Amino acid sequence: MTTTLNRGPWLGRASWLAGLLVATLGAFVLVGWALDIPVLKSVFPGLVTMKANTAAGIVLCGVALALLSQGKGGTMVRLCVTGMAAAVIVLGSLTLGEQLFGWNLGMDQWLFPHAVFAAGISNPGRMSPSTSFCFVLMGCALWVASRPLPSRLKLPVLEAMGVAVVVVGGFALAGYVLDAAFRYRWWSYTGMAVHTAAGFMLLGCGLLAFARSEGGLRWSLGALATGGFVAGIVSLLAAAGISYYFINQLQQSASWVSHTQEVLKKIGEITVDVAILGSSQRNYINTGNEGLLKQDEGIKRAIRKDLDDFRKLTADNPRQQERAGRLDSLIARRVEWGEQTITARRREGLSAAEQIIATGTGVALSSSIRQLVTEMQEEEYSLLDQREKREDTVSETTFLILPLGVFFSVTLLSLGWFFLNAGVAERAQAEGKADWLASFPERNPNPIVELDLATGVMHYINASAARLFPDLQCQGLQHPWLAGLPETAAALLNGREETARREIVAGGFYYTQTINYIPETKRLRVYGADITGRKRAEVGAAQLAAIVESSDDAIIGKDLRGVVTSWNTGAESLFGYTAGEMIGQPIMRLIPPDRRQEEAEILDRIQRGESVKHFDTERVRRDGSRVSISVTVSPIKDSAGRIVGASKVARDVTERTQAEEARRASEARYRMLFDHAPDGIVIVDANGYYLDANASICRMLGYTHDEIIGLHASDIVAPAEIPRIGEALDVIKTKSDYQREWQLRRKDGSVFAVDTIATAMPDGNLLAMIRDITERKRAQEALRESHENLERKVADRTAELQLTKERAEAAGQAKSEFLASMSHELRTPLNGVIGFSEFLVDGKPGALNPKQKEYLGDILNSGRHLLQLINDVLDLAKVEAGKIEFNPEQFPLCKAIEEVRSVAGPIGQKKRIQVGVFIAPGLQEVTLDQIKFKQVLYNLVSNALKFTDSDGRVDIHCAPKGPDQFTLAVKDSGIGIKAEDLARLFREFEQIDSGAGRRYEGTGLGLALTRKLIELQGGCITVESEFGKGSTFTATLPLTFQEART
Amino acid sequence: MSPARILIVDDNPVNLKLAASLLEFSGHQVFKAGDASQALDIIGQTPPDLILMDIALPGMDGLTLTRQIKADPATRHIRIVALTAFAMKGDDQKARAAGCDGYITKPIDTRKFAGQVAEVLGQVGETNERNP
Repeated sequence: MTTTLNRGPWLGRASWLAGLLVATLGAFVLVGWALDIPVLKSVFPGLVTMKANTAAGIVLCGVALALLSQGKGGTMVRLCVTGMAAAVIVLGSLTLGEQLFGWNLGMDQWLFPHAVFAAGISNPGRMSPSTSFCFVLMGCALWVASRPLPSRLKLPVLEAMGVAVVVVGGFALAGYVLDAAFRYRWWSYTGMAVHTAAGFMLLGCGLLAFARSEGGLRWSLGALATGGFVAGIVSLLAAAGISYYFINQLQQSASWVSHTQEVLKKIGEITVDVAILGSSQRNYINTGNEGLLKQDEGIKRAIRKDLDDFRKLTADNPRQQERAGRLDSLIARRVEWGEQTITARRREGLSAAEQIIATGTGVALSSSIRQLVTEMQEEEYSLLDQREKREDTVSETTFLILPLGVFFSVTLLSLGWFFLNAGVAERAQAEGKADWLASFPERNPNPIVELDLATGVMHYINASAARLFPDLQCQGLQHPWLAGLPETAAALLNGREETARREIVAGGFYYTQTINYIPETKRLRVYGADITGRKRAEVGAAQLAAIVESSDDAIIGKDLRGVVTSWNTGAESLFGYTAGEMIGQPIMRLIPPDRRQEEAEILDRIQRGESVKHFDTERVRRDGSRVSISVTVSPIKDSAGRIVGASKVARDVTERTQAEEARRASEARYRMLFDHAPDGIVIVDANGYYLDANASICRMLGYTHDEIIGLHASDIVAPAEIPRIGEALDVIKTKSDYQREWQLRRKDGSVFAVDTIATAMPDGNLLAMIRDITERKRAQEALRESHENLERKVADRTAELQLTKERAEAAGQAKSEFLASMSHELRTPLNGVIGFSEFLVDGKPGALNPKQKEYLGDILNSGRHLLQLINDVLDLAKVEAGKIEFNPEQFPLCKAIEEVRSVAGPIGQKKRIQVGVFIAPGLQEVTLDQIKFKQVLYNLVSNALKFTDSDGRVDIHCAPKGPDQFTLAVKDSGIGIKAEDLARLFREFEQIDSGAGRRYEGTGLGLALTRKLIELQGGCITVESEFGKGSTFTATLPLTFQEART
Repeated sequence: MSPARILIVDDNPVNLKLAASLLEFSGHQVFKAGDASQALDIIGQTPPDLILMDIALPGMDGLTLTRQIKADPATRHIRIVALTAFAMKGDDQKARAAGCDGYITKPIDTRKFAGQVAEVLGQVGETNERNP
């Protein structure tokens, strides 16, 4: 099993919790000691207490473990833990020293000097040996854990010590549990308090958890080592326990021996006392001397006491108890018998006493007592013998077991240590070897992958593959590098092949792939190799070969002896031999006899490493004809740089020669063109110096050809234009169609205008064609002058017209102002005339006679006529001054006409004239200035009514005209108008006389105003009339108002 | 129609007389002024209910006088009707802009004049009832 336990955080927390719990426990016990609370000290009354030092040690251990488990402590925390560990070690070791060597350091009372302990215990306040041993272990473990040691050393030690502490604590705890459950004291030697035991269990477990969380130790390697350590420690503990047991046994045996001797001594004392008692009785009987009996009572008490002691000492021996009972009764009877004899001697004298003695009862009793005592002594002696034997055996066993146990434990510990080291070393070695092996694919510069073809899962990608194809893991079989892999691998899966190979392009690089099928895992391993360099070289070589093959030049390879090694198509067509005919043949076949020496020289130069370039020579074709060629011969070197042959590039220059001739002919043609062109032609260099000039330009400028060559453009350009030369040169160089006028200066200094077309030539020089435009300029000038004259005249005339217009406008303005003012001034007196006339006619100031009333009526009518005249003049003036405004709105035609009829109607009613209205269907709404429309209609209708006699007829006709106009016609049956008067009809202040010589009311302005109003709305008005029969005025208006164009 | 105090301002004595005659005939109490200063004197002594204002006056013209009366809180309530021979289009708007409550053109229609005046006075009465 090699799986690393990855439970670090969880175990770390467990260990931290264990540390905290233990520290809390210790703290509680310390409080118990400080405040004397028995429950805290011993949990259950009467049980062993946890000692103050133990509590302090446990607090230190718990805190240290918790600090370690936090895992994020710096150096300070580590030092703290080390200090605590050292303190715990010192505490444990010193206490062990006290116990083992009988030192009395007084450290048991350091913390609480005045604590009260149960009497009769040899070292009150001292912790048990196993507790101090556990402290030493715990301290060492914490010290190791806090030091920066290699984990392969550190962790096994921690584990071993953790296990040891758990075991010791566990034994003690198990003892308590068994004692509580079964009243069976199985292990009472630890002397550990129940909560101390629990605390050590927790600490040990915490330590183990910490070690596991820290190291992720592997069980397989740790098992032997851990087992060894555990076994060693258990056996050490067992040895210690057993030794302790036997030493105890030894002590017990010794005490039994001395006990037996004490019993024997008691038996002896009883025997002696009984004998003394008998002898004193006999002496009294013989002498009668009462003094001899003085001590009897004391002896009897001593015998009773000794008997009681004996009974107590042999309480564990029923046989001796039974004997003690018998002895007790025998002694009682003997004493009673003795007293009888003494009483008889005292009362009846010696003979009576001797009679009693002669019965022999006393002797019999004494002999029974002796016999019984002897039995008892024998029993004790045999017991003593047994116990001494057993003591010997125990001491022998003890002295055998102690060294054996120590030896066995040390051996096991050493074995554990050995396996630990061996395991660690083996593991390190195995890991090293695995790493070394893994580095072969991992550091392989070629990409290697392993994958499952069925699932597409990538099981291994080496570093090179990961670097080259970062998307391999996520794209799997979709990755271009693995494209088509299933097809390639099909043969492998069928078991026909073991290895497949292929080439693939991925990311612009070429790879070969060797593909292995691993039947055990059913996976494919793909080993790639980048062959891009080789591939490119191959492609390059193929391209080069293609280039050589497609070249029109003859490209020939030959070795140093002059044997042809390669022959391209160009060579075939140039010399007439095919490659098959020439390869392997001497090149000399091509060389005419008179040039043999030349070829030898070339080969010489090639062998020296030199090249021969563009060497013109002749060769012989297959058909025997000679061909002019230009050859370039270069040495061919092998990879070591040795010259192994020559490459020869030959070009047929026959055609070139012909082309040169053609070019010369062409040049001559162009030269002729140049020299004889009517326009000037010059060639200047990029800086503006004349390189060539034709005859025309020389003529224009007055220079000879030789004079002009070498001049600069600034020498022939008018001085004013010199600064523009540089810019012009730049433009010509970049622009193909430069054209501009220039002023040139002749040799004699006179200036003339030319038109210049210039362009840059392929050789960088500039070609310019120059045309004299003096004549053209002159014509243009004349044209321009006449044009200017014309324009000036037009402008003058326009100014005049403008002035006239302004004057007219000013006059118009003055006219309207005059009219407005006149209107006011005329109205003011008219107010009096009309007002008072009306006032009087109405008879308000008083009644008038008919004549007065008639004349006043005449005044009133004249006034009103004058007022109408003023109003009409005013309207007309406004129209003429353009001050009239139109406000178009949409309104129904019939409604407007009806309104006009209702206003004008009363006039007609007086003369019984019918006013008829006829509106064509479909003509409903118009968009015009409604007020102006009504004014027009009213004027026409009132006019018609005015000129129509009684019982006549006036009709209003409305009809559409075209898509956007309508006609408004007013037809009357009135007096009509003569044809010759029609033209004057619409003019101001014109009133047509009726034939009857009657004058009609009216200002003569109405129709003129009407016409204006109609025309301003984009319409027109016409009239048809037959004199004496009636007239028809027809207004044509737009359906929608249009601003009239004037 | 209760009689009212009406001031007529007109520099033309004939026209002044005509208007005064017509209003007196209708029973109104009429005051007459030939120019702005006379008018202001009368307004200062006995403020009229209505002023008939000629526009073209010597010195201060009628519109200026109207603006002055309408600008003074003490006389603002007096109704003013322009009575003028300026009958061109736009003249009525100028009069109203200056503060006139009505506009009557000359020559006056003697048969309607009393009614036109009464109409303006009626508005005064109504207005005063609404805003005492």
